[in-house]
Amino acid sequence: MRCNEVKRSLSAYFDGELSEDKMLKIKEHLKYCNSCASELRKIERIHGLMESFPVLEAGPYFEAQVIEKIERESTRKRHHLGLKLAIGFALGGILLFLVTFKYQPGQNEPAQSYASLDTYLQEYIETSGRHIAGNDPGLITAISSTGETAR
Amino acid sequence: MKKLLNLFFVLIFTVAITSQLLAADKTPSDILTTAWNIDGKINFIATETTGMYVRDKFNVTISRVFSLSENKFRREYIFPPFLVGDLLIDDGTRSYYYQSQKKVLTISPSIFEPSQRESHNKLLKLILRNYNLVSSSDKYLGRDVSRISVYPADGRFPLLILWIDNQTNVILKREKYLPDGKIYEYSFYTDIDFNVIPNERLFVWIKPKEEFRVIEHKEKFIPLEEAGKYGPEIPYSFQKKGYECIGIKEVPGGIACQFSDGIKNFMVFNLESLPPIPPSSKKITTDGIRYSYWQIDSINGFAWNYKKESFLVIGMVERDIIEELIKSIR
Repeated sequence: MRCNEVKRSLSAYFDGELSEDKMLKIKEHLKYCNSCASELRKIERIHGLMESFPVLEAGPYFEAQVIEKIERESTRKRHHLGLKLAIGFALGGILLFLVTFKYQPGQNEPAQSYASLDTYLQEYIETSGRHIAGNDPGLITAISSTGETAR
Repeated sequence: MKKLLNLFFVLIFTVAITSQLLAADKTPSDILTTAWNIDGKINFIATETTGMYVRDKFNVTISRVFSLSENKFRREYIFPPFLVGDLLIDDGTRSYYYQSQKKVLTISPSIFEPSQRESHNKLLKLILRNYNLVSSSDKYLGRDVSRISVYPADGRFPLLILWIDNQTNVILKREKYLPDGKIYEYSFYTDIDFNVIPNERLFVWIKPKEEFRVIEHKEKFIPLEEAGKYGPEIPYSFQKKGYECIGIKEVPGGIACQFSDGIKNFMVFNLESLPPIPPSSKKITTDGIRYSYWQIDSINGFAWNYKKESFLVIGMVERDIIEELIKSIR
């Protein structure tokens, strides 16, 4: 076995979690490899230190407090998400407003329409002319840009 | 034979005297009312010349017209050259206008259709209410006619003059004037023949063999009684200086009210948005509302936005009336 592979498995070797075959191979390697044996000694020292620490018991509300803290955190994250979405929508709205109304005039200024002024001028001439000038759509044709426009 | 000839001359003389006497007995209002209602009820064939002053020139058309006493009408254009071959047939229900050079057929409601006749009759009522009529005897095309001049109550010049045939009550000639006395619209018949009955077939639209495009104008007139349904922004109830809304119709992008005092007309368009306004238009503020104002010959234009509504007014109308209208829409 190579040293890298042995060092990655030393903690599991110390806890006896490896297969028998692998345990034997690591044991053989440690016999002649000082570096890996030194690593194993460090692990043994750390474990020895940890065993000397007193055992701390959790308070009676520890679990409830942890759950509450977790919930509060997730709510805070949701609020952050809502705030971010609100800001996003607001910015989007402002952008849409600017794009839509940038070239449109103010409240009392003319906005653009699909029909031309001529459409309504002809509508007026035709409607009022029908009563007095009779049924003469040709006159409307003649009036509308030298006969280029129908009606 | 001599007796027969004498009898014929006596008959002609009697008819002439009778028509003069009948005309003399009638008031100008009676003559105008009869002429107004005779439209579409007399047989004749004539040549008609019409002209309208728009965009710094008189636009003139000359056509051969055929009238059948059953609300049927036919017009064949002979001038200007770009209208030659164009044909209008009104069969009393629908009006077919075929532009032969453009190969376009425009179908509209007949001018004899009830809603059209209704607004036509309203115009007469308004003329009789708002204007003074003066009648005089005249001659036109060698025929005895009554010349009816329609004067505004406070005007020196007539706004409309009609030459009405004493025998048939057909309006043979008409002229419309601006308040300053300038003529801006006319029409007159020449070569008129009342002794023929045009063939019915002339009033039947026959599809041409060539391919053509069809434009159908389904003009939807809305009865004034139903105008309220379209909201308070339709100023149908606005009345000023004798003007009244005589008809409401759907137009591209909105709805329009036609206002008239009998002779002068203007239309108020309530649109989704305004069309491009002439750059030369003046900007005027009245009662906190800014509107654009421009003039094309005798036709004035006004445009403004109020809240979410867009308004356009086109017509022969004084500015103070429009300012009143703007205030009334609030």
